[in-house]
Amino acid sequence: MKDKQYRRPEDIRRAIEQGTPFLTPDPLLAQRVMRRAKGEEPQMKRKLSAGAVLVIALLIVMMTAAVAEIIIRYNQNWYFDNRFTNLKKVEPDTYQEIMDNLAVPAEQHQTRNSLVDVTVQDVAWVADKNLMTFTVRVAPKDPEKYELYPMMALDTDGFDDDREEHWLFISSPDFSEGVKSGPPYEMMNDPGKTLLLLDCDGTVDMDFQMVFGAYDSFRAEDGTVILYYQMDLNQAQTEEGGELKPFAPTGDTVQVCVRYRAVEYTEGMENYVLYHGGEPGQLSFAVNLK
Amino acid sequence: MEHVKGPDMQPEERLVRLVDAYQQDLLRISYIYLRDAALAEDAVQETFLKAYLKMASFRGESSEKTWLMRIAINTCKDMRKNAWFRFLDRRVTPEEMPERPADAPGDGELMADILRLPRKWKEVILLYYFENMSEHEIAASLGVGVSTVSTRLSKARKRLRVALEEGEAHER
Repeated sequence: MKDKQYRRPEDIRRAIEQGTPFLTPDPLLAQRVMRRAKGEEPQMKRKLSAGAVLVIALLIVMMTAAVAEIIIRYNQNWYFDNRFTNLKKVEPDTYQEIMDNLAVPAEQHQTRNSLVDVTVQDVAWVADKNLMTFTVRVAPKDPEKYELYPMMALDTDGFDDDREEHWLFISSPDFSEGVKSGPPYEMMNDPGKTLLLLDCDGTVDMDFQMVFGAYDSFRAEDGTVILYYQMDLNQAQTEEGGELKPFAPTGDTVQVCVRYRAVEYTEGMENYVLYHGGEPGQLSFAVNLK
Repeated sequence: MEHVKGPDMQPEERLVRLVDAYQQDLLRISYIYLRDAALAEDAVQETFLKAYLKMASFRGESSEKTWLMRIAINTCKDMRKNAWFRFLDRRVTPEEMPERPADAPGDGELMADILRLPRKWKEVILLYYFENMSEHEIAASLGVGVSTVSTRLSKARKRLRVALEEGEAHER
């Protein structure tokens, strides 16, 4: 040891062993694998959230509250028209049913977050297809200080053999001008601002668990970030007595809760902080099934 | 070198033995890749399922550990490619990281340093120092050249300030 900051190989081994105590072997794993091989066990018991696809929209929704009229520029109709989904062409019936069932949640709740405001714009419930879709709009609380982008816009493979920095990928919401990429502060509209990244951390505390879903996020022209979610509840599960069973809604509504993190990006920041840090928040709302 | 094709073993018996021998190792490498304990468990189950289904085709050209590591790494890479990967619940937050044991000063910090390494460096550090695999075995597991493994090891050591010369880590 020439320097007290140097580490020995046995230090590495011990650090990994002691740093991963939560990784415990499953004593029944071999039996599970054999049952799966015979088709007797469901694929995996993953407790989580949504996944990925893409879609969304420009629709003008007039909320006729006595005090305010809010124009929602980006909603599902715009999304289906402009993002790279082909749902409108491939499944026109599904698309039309989503459009026919668009609604604004009567109430929604978000946890306190000092960096962003998060709002559900519209939801759709297509009963005969057991399909739920919704969009969420995220705006920086201080647009003079922050320029907001979805975490998806920052490439995750920044640490590559030939490039050791993250790049920001930018495009117009409808891709009409292609995609450009480069170091974040060369790509931002105003490099004098701080890059704020919005990372969606899935869903939590819902009536059901989703194994697969669809998700897309992009930066709208007004500087907000739009999130689109699509959940096929035929794939949803609920836990009863330690077992996962297909989810069947029993009431008039289903509770949805999405989780997110807003992260202030700085050049050279640790990946661990980038992907685990920031200020977390939750947005919950009910979707009417009637 | 232990091979999957044991002379008289039934596939079920071989699977049980492989799970007993390598489940924990595969969990760690999967966790390093996926940074999520639940996903790592899924990846390991998927790895053993693939191994079980492909057991007859294993030709014994590499050790079974190298073979399983390669399946696990490819499984993790496939999971990372899935568009929904980034939106899964990530179970481990900095707050949940284990506290540094009193009798092992600096280990918690070192683990955090390892997790912060670029993925390609993390995997070689884990395979080399923790799984005791040789550079050739790592190259076979990752599907890259031995020189690439050496380069990544060198960069990772430099970042971690590992006080080692090549070959001093453990006897080969």
